[in-house]
Amino acid sequence: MDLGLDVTERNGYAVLAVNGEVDVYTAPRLRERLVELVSQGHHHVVVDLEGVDFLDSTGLGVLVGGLKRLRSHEGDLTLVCTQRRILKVFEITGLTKVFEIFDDVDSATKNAPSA
Amino acid sequence: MPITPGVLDFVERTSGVHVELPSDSNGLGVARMLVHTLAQRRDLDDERIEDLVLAASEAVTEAMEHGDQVVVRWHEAPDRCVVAVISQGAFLSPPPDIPTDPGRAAVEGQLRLPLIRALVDEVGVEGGALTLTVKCGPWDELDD
Repeated sequence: MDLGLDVTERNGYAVLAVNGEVDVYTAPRLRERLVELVSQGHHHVVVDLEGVDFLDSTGLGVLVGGLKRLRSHEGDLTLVCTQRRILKVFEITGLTKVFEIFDDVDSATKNAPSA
Repeated sequence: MPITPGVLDFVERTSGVHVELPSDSNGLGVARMLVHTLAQRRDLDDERIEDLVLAASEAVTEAMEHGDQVVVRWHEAPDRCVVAVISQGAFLSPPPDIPTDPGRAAVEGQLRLPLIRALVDEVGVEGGALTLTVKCGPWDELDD
């Protein structure tokens, strides 16, 4: 299965647009990309989930792992998602309390990161 | 959410779809497509179909970690649909509730089974199978 992972930079943020299905077989690629961004010095990352058709618990684990990694570098990881079916997974698991979730990339990158 | 005994018995008694899938990316994709297609035939709304597909995908993923092949079965009655995921050793006890620290659980891979439980009406563990039951309306006999 293909997983699109495209990075653009916006107002001091790295915006990682994810496209496709995130499951146990594709999530490692998402993890690698996040680790790569951190090692390249991107400590403020927005993960855009609008192109994601499917996200399972492995994907949730990778996103939380990314958030923890970035916080240990004084950074942050926020999400962009308006898809009901994807948001529901965050709601059911209680992870809406862990992530800041925006409606679009403009809102997520509106204020330049302070650190 | 109740853990119901006897669901596997229902699965054994009724005819349905029986598919053996390899434990790989394609096998998992086919499992999702299969459940989606079969659930669409019933009077389930889109959100419940997505919930069932995610629950089934999580169950199949868990089973794939315990063997080279996974068996997925689909059974229907007028009031419910049941997905049974059969594996050697993957399902020994009922899935727990969503943990109080979901962040830590997510990183440790401990969200999969609680998520299954939260997504369907009933979950059962019987004889190496995890059964996922969704209640639904009767077939519309005039439709055929």
